[in-house]
Amino acid sequence: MSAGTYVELHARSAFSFLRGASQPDDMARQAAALDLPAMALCDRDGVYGAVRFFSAAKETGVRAIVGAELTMEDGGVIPVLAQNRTGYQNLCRLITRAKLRGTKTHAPVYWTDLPEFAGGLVALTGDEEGPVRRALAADDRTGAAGAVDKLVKVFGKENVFIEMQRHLRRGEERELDALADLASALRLPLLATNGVCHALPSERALLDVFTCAREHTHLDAAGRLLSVNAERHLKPGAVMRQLFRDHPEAVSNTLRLAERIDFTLDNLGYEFPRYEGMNKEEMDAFLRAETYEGARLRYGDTFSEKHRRQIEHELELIARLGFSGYFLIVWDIGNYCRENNILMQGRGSAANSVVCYSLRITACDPIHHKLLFERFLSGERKAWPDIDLDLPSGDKREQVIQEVYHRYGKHGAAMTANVITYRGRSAMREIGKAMNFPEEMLKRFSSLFANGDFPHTLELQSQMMQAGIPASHPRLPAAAALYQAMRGLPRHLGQHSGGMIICQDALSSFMPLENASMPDRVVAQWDKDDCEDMGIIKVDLLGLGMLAVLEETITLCKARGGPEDIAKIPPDDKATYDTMCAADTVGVFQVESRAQMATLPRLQPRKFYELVIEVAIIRPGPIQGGMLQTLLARRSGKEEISYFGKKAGEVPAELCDVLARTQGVVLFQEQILKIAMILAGFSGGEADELRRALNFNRNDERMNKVCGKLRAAMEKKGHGAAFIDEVVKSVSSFAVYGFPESHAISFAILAYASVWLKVHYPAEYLCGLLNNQPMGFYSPASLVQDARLHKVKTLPVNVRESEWKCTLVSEHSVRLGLCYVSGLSEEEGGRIVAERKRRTFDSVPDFQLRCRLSKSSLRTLAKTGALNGLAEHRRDAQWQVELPLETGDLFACVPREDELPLQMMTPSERLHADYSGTGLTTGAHPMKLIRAQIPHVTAAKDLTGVRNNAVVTIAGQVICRQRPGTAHGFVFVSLEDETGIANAIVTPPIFEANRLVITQETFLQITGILQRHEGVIHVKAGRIRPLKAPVAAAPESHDFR
Amino acid sequence: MYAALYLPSFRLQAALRLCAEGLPPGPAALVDGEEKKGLIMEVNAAAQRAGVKPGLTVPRAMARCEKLSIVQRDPAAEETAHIALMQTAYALSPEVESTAPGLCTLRLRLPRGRDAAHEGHRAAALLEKVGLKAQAGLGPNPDLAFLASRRARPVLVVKEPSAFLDALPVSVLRPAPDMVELLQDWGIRTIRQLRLLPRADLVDRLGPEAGKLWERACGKSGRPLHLVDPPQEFVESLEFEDEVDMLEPLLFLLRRFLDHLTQRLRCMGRVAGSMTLTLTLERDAVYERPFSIPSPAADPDVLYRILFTHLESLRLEHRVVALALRLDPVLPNRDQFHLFETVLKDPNRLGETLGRLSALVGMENAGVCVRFNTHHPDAWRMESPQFHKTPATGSPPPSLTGLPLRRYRPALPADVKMGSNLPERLWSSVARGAVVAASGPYILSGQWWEAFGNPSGSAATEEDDSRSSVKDNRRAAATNGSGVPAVPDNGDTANKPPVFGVACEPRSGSPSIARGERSELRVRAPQTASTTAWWSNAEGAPFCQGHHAVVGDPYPAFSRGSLRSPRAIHREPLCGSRLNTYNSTVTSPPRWPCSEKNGAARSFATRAAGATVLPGGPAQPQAGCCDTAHTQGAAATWTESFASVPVFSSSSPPKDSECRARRKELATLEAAYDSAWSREEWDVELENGALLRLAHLPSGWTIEGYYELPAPAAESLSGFQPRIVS
Repeated sequence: MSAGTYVELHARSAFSFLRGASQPDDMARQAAALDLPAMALCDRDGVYGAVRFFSAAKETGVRAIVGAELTMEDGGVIPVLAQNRTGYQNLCRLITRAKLRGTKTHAPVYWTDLPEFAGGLVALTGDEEGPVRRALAADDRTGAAGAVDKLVKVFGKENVFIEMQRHLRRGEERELDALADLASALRLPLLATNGVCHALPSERALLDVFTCAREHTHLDAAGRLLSVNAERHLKPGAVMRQLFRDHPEAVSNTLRLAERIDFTLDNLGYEFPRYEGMNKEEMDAFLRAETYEGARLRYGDTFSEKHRRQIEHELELIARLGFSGYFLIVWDIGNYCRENNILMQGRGSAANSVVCYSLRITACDPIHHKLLFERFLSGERKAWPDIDLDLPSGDKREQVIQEVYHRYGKHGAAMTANVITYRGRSAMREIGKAMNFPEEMLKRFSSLFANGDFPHTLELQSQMMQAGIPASHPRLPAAAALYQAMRGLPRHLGQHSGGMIICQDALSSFMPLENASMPDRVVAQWDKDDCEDMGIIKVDLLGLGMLAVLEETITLCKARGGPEDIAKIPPDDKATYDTMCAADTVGVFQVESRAQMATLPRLQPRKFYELVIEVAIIRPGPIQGGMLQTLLARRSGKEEISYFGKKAGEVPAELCDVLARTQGVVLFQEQILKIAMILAGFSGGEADELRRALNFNRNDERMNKVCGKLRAAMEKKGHGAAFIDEVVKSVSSFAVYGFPESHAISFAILAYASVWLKVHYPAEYLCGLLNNQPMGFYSPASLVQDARLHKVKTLPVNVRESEWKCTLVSEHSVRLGLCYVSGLSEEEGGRIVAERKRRTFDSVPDFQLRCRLSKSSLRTLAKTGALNGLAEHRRDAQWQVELPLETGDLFACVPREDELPLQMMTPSERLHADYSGTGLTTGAHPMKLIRAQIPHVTAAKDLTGVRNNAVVTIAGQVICRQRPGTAHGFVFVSLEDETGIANAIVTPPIFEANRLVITQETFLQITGILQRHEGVIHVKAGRIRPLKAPVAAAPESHDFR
Repeated sequence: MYAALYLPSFRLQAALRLCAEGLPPGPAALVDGEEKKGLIMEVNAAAQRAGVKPGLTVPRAMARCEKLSIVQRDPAAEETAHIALMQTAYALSPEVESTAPGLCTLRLRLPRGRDAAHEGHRAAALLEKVGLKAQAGLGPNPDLAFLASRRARPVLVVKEPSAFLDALPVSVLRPAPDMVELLQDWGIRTIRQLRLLPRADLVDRLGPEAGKLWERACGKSGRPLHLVDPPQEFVESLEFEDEVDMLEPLLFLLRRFLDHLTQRLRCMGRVAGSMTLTLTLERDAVYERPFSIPSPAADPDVLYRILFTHLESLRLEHRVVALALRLDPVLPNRDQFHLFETVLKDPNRLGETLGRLSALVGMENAGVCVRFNTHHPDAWRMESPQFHKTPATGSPPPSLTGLPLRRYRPALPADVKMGSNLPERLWSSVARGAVVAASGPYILSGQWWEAFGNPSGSAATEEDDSRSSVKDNRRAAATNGSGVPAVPDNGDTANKPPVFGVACEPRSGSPSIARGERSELRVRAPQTASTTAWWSNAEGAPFCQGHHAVVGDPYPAFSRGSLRSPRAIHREPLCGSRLNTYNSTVTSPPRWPCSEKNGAARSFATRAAGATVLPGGPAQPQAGCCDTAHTQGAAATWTESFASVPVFSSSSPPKDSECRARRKELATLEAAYDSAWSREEWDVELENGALLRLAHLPSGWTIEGYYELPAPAAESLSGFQPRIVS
């Protein structure tokens, strides 16, 4: 620690959620800039920002001290600092106890808890929210002394400091004098802090906005709730010494205390749990045994020396790095899944490992696919390997998660946090509320986004004006500046979709845990990156809807002699590849998006590896880097294959071997590793370091450093300058689109399986899809329409036939389940099924009397035709269900003789009823109803017959609006009609001119020029108009996701 | 014969009716700003033509019609419009039913031979005069009249009910929303279709409400009207044939109005809580003056006296052409006071006094002084006194915190020489000399959002007139709730009222302001030690000092007005180190960390030690216009401290030019309260013993005021008397 004159020991970052205005890393950097030797971050009721603060402080040479502000049951707030590891662990446990006991918004620490966890902690008396100053503010000196006394009793005299802050406001001198008197009387040391809430003075405005958000008010009304000035920023030692020149010892004590504190997050002491309590050697041996046994099952007779060598290499490395326990625990989770018939598949770089393949964690054979193990694990890399497990989303995934909690306890396992940050909409919403902008303007501002995470082409100023905030608005400059400043700051803590962390000892000793919003879930205070930075290992238990679909489809297929699991699906099926080449991929995995469907006919995948490329290449990176065009051109022979500008013979053969499969284009992370190893002689670890540096694109310095190393190594190997330039250029630009080959292969396996099932078992596949919604790109309505085009009939909901879920009726028909009836509860659905199994329903009154459904459920069932068969038609059922019946009414079920006064539904009425009752129709597409009224419109299937560059009008229901960041503001709109899907491209000017029409209307007609390119047809939009909707309750389209 | 007066798109009409700019010519749609999801509620014809219809979201509606004006729903305007509709209906018939918002039904008893349509047209014409577009339907029963009103353009008389009904949609019968939905699901869209359903079956299924609906569909329902009383408004008005330029005719008429109105009030068991006098002047000018009646009464003499007091000092530029008086009824006050709680002896006399003050200084400048909820050290505004409000009884305000500050309004410019970050020497019009002790700086800033990004930004001077426009915008926004400021008025501060505050009011006990003689106003000194005053510590909280009790809520009565002297004062204690102890013995060496000169020996605390009471400082001759006020009573010093009640005799009003100049000067200060501001404040002690509060603003140094030392200390200070230094 360099000599300094002051250490800031009480600071809150934005991770105090609405009580601080700066990122922890910014605070660390500012502390370094001010030459502070150390600094403590005390976020409110947690150590949320501690890792980021620690990492940034480490980079800048500031010693990061860990602390937290504890909200006590009486409302007082006590800052505490962790002196040593015991103190830190106590702090984490203390917060965990309070958090798990309380609610999400109110989880105070009890005074009675403190003595148990006071060891190793230093307490300050706090700022204006602290118990001491609160008492002084009420002129209660006795109370103040009592509060200090309480702290001394808990923490010990040597561990309590009287905290002084001077923010240059009137009236504080009285308090400071009283504090000094108190310290003198109780013989306690004074400690100067600045109660920092923001790194820089200018961030005070942000703090004021947060204050408004916290107090549910606006700036005009907040008054004295706001900061009196901007003094709560980080200040250099000289300034603090000047401020406290009447109490120099208070400043000196900061140094003394900082010296006393020897804990930083460097010595966290985390340890991954051991498998079944085995020691290291036992675990190594057990892993070896299980791996070889699995390999024999996987490879059978094909097991060779090559396999053995690779397994030995991997096992040796795993044992050396001490990761055997981790592999065994993941293997154990896999076993649990298999025992419980839960489909599970590892994804990501784990697929590069033959050990993972042998342990049945992953499904792709790395030896067959020539995958590089170093991408997954290398001896030189300290970080834990990352194994992600895909599980069927929904209950089964939850079952696995709960099993992990069960095994390791509530204090031993937790989901990692997901820090939700302020983004465009939320930032402006918060600022707008604080600025007292009308709600209507904020709504309009938000609705003008409609493009999710993709780059936003609307200028902020313009967007604000379009939202109704005039350019001359006096608060516009403030709003605009704050908007930029607030983006990226943490807003609240969510839970990661699947990342779980577990620990040998109680996890709550290493980070505080809290209750998640979901019942029975515990979430850690750090997100996955923070956990990774701290070396805390995470197992991703991710939900993948398609796995649930495949699981259900395969179960249904078995009855018709289909494959028993994914591995048994026949490879290289021609019909499957034909379907892909024709882009007939609605509802399949990965290759169903608009961009994928536009690429499939051009790439023409005919082999599995080509499908892998297809999966990998439709990503923002490759598209932006021009890889797609290059690859397609080389595949079609329009461009010669080259390797960094050289022909095959001019570069090492090994390099050709690495890049040949991707036509010389660098597409995968594994290729980067191999290129570095071949051309620069890097070791596996060095190569992976290069890959990791490329992933950290935000850090130019790190990338330049590693590129320099690559350049030097290649020069040493004698490569020419031009060639080196080309390689380095490729490698640098690769940073934006890195994608592991193993991951692409894992996904391609699922994609192939889904297409194969759709081709050969379309009804089963549809059934699986419908039962696992929502997922994918298309709504159930579109899936049903697509199935109809593939000769699979979807039968409507019928109480005499339907189960709760959709069921397979025949190889060409699926019956919709009762789950599709809006408003019908699962309990009601179960009652219907149970009653029907007991005895079939005779009539509507019989059904009513036995099932005892709510009136609204009865009405919806009648309206959607689910009671057809018990009544003459829907209106008959509607008329009947309205008649109130009482149990025991002997005449209730007597057939009536009077004439039905209601008319049968027209097709249009049926359509309305279907969409409003089930969200889809099993009948004709809505466009069919109005087809006769729009003779100028060309149906989707007829577009193939239209000549290129002809002006054409397409119309239909908007099922997809996409605005990828790679498309330079172009928008892709898909319109569905009764014959299929027509695609339109909207240029940025046309989009801006019709922004609201495109984003708000459910049915559109688009006139433009038809463009046909390598079998892909789209219409370049010229004129876009709303189409009078044939149905009011159309399902929502897939927008900008 | 029954008539239904129906206002189509009622909520939209009501919202647009009060628009200053009148009805928008283009498409307009109404949304309810309170609703979470802003759906279009009503549209006008132009919007309907553009494809906008109720139920659409706003963005979607705007997608269909780019020039669509979005109008926020205004429930208050709807109520007003409905009252206007009802009032108009009473002009046609005394039997009126308030059927629904924007709809009333009345029974017409037409003389033989009178055309029913004529009455409908008459009603529509009357409503047009109050800014409402109406449709009138006439029929043999109320329901048919209602249905006819929906189809009328603008008048429709139903002669053959069944033919008329058949083609109408069911929705015109206004069934309950869930029944509408159900009938839609059944495919029942027209009244004819509904009529064809068997009534008994319908009632079996949907209950008696469906039966009533069915009967309405058959045009058979002959229901009685639910007659309502006329709206409870008490207004009398008269338009003069000739312009009036004398007070007597007005007083005569007002007396008669009051006799009638108070008689009506008494019949209803009500008293008048307030009244509003409206004088329509030549050239369409209107003078309107509301009066809050301190003790609500139905006594015409009391009310007359209030009006008389106001009118006798009123000067108007034009003659009166019409007169209106409105009384607002309230229930008689029946508060039971506690044993030691007393009321004002005669609250209405205080009301008269305030009315008199208001006539002199402007209504907006008389009332109760309320601090803005801001850190700005001298930000306050006037509010009308809430005579009926019980004083707040919260936690007691914090006790004493220091010396009182006498503020200069506006602050006085000063030159300060800084030395090693501390003020060293001061020159100003009232005091100058070497600084022997200083504390500070106290840094304050606020309202950053008003001047964000402005290069002058927080560096804007408090004298910057443009700030006043920002403040006004904010106030406008606060008023209309839109948050959108109006077009800046470029700081026309000349029209702003002058600011000045004095006077006090006890929390209980005798009023501190009593009615004086005819041409002057006196401030009566407090008779007991329980008198209260508007004192506050530096944080703005009321506090207790010496003999003075805590000020409750409301704060004391306060007046602002033109002054002979531009400076106003009020007291504010210094909130500094150890000053809180000056009523006791200082027991430990004072700490005054920022005081650099001459050591702690000359600290304020030491100087203050031994003081016992704070009766108020010596009179400051330049603070107010003492020459027109005189004092009486025991505590003269008290009065002197506040001896700045400005009184202009009705016979000698101030010259306009003087007023304008003062107003401009003072308004700038008020403007600065709300604008972006930043300042550093210092408390300094000069070599002659003066204790001053200085502010370092971006525009330079000012003296904000001086601290008043307790009497013994003050007596020993011969050196300091703020004085004009040429």
